[in-house]
Amino acid sequence: MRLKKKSQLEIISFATLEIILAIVVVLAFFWTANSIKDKTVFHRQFLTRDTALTVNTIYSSPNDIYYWYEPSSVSSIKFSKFDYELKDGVVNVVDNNLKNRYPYLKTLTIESKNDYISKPSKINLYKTNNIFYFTDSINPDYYSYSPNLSDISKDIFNDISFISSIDINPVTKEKYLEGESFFLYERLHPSSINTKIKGKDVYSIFNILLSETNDMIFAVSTYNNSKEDIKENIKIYFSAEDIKDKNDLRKVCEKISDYINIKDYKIPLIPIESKKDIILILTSQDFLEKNPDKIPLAISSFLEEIKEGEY
Amino acid sequence: MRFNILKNRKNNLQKKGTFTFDVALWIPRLSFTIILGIILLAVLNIYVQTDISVEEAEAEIFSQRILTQPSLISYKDPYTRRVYPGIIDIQRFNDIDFDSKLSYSKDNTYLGAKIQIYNTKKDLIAEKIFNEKAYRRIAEEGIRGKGGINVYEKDTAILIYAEGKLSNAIMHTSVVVSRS
Repeated sequence: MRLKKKSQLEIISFATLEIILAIVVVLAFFWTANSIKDKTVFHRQFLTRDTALTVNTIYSSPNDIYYWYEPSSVSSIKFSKFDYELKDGVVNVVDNNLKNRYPYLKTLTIESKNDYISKPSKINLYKTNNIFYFTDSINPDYYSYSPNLSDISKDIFNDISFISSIDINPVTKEKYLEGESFFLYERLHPSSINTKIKGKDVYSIFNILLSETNDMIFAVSTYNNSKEDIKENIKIYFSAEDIKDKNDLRKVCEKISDYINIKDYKIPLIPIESKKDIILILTSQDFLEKNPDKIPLAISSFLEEIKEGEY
Repeated sequence: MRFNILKNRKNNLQKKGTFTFDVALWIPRLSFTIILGIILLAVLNIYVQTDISVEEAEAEIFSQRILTQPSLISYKDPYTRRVYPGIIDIQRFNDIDFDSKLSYSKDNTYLGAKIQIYNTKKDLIAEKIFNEKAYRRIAEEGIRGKGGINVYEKDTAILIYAEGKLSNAIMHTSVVVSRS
């Protein structure tokens, strides 16, 4: 009788232990699933790596670049839940006291201005004028920025913006890589001819017909320059939609350069990129005052030749 | 079946000297429960991705960066300062010290690379190493594979600009990335 009771107790405890064990396993399963769901480690890991790769890509740009980084717009990552910092070559993504780190490749020759960004809705990444910005605010410097062409007047380049396009490599004469930055004289619209552009003095500007299909903008613009070196006082920029027209324009520029005739000095002819055919004679105010007739006469002579049908 | 087991167990319990706790019966049951638990957790982990591997992307961006970054080896127009990615100025390549231009964090042990330029006859024209200390350490001493290092090799068709002339060439980049 006593043994019977003992064995019954044994069976009950055996079944109870089995149930407890099953409950423990189920609870462990739910606990694991729940902890994974609540953890932000994956998000932080993703964001450190994604930010580091984005920063590396911005640094890689062959030209100046502005990028609006907002991964939440393309994924369910809780981007604005964290704080971001670039420090000592490392991207830090911080969630309260938890921090994830990932290295990025810094360009040592570029100054970087990095903010500690707290719970941003987006991050702005700029690389302009040899300065790298990592900020959540719109950088006012960006709008007053002029391309890094130190020997060109900033005033002129306020009228120029960048586009991405496909073009012909002027060195190899082959179709070039997609996505490069080029200059576009979008604000030098033909309707602006012989007027002031954005309040800036454009000394003279003409619109001439080079061919039946291509309108060309022929512009002369001035800038302030105190340097006496002739190299700093006059340059000719030219651009065309394709390489054939570009070669034609180079010839035109050479002709105008001959007309301007500054002793033995050969005026630099600088190819630039534009969607329009354009010749821009950029000269200092000082040079123009000392040689008041040179450029207008050169242009007039050239236009006479055009009328005679030489071009 | 169960009845027989219980009956046997009861008989066993009644025997003198037997264990009061039937261990033999526990082993398969416990094992089954543990295996079930492991399977459940394994299924869960299969569907939950926590590891993010970006070494390959990192190596690719580095290879591209060598070509596109203005201050490195690509030809730069002296007037417009426009960079021509894919056209290597061999003079700049020979003169450049990559370590003075690029750097990871302070310890700088994350990535190293060897950049070699071959002509069309496959003769080595020039060679540079970025982050040589790290490159030697991880490329020559590191253990390849998971937990060690990854090596990414890439050939890129380029043009060499030398003394005003262009010629065809191949740039071979060997990027080693630590996975630690």
